Amino acid sequence: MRKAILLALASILAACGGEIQSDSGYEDAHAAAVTAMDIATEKGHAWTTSDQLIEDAAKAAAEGDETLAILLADEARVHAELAVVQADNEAATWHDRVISE
Amino acid sequence: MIRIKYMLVIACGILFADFAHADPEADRQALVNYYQNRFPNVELQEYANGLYAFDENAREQWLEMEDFPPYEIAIEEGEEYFNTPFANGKGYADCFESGGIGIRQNYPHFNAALGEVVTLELAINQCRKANAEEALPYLEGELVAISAYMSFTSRGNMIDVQIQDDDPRALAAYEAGKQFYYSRRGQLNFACSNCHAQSAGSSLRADRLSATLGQATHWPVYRSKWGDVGTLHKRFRECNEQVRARPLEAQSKEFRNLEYFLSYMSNGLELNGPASRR
Ligand code: HEC
Repeated sequence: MRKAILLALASILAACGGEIQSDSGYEDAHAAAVTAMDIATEKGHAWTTSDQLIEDAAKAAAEGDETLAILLADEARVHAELAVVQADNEAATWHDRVISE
Repeated sequence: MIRIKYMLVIACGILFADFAHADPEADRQALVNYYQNRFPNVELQEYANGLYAFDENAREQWLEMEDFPPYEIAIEEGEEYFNTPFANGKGYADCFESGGIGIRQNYPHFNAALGEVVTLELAINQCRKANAEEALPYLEGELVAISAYMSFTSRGNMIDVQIQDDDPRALAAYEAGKQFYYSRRGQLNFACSNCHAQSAGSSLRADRLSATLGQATHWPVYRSKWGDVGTLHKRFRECNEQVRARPLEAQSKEFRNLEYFLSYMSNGLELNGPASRR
């Protein structure tokens, strides 16, 4: 079960990785990350990794390294998207884990 | 006709499912059985001592630490705060049953008027607000000391968390806490139960892992790592962070529901707070 979830997470990670668009700027990447993070937060499942990545992205942007800033913001978004997948998956399956006899 | 039959089956399934999940006493008994099967030599009350129920060496060091309890100052300060009147002349004793002495076992409870779980720490701040005093911070300082003093006066009392069966909201709060405990979170994808149920008694880095039973009996706790006393919700936050989940706020509704579930699992154990841990 756990392996299956990890595999699913890994393949989503790969899929999301493929989505990264280098033509849109840091602002877009940042906005997309914030949107995904807000959804994860609302579901009570936010990851600290996203928080750190988005902070690092802002730092890179402030230092004028737009390429790195976009990369980091995209990664923050991917982590947030994974957190949302986790939240939905857990909402559906947590019962299976309860010790009941 | 067939369709109606299907719908009935589904409806019954949903009803039955809800019914099956909403039996706190069965949940608690299942956990007791689970741990007692795995650790037949550990007495039930021993779980109130957390990881020291499993770890002989750590237990000896801990008992030595308890000779000069590091939480003693917090109890003394807490007593002083507790007995210092508010600006309006009233005090904490006026807010609580029995003048606030020996009543920790009444918390957490589901407050029907509020429609939410009330923990002792929340009640302390409710008392302040009712007397036109500012709320205190939840993670350290005065409020934690007051909580420590109130725990101290309640030592030996039996935990007996009630979940009103005539109020579905109480059961829903319990279920929400249970869901929290059994849900994986954070980048590391761990549920509380992965560590404290499946892996209870096993080592994680320097520590053995405590069991779910007894996790709510002894708060606040003085931790060497904190160099201070802290509340159960501070510990929740740290356990969130360990798995790279963003911690929720102390006394958030989610954490109060979690405390409600966790305390129910400690029903039948004696309160033994405040306590010390590494
Ligand atoms: C990655 C493993 C891990 C996860 C997941 C985890 N914890 Fe912990 N927890 C620990 C460790 C390590 C300690 C310190 C050793 C001990 O006391 O169990 C601890 C301690 C605690 C304690 C203090 C026990 C005591 O006797 O004072 C509580 C309460 C607790 N955890 C609750 C939770 C809750 C609730 C969750 C889920 C939100 C959770 N933990 C998730 C590892 C974990």
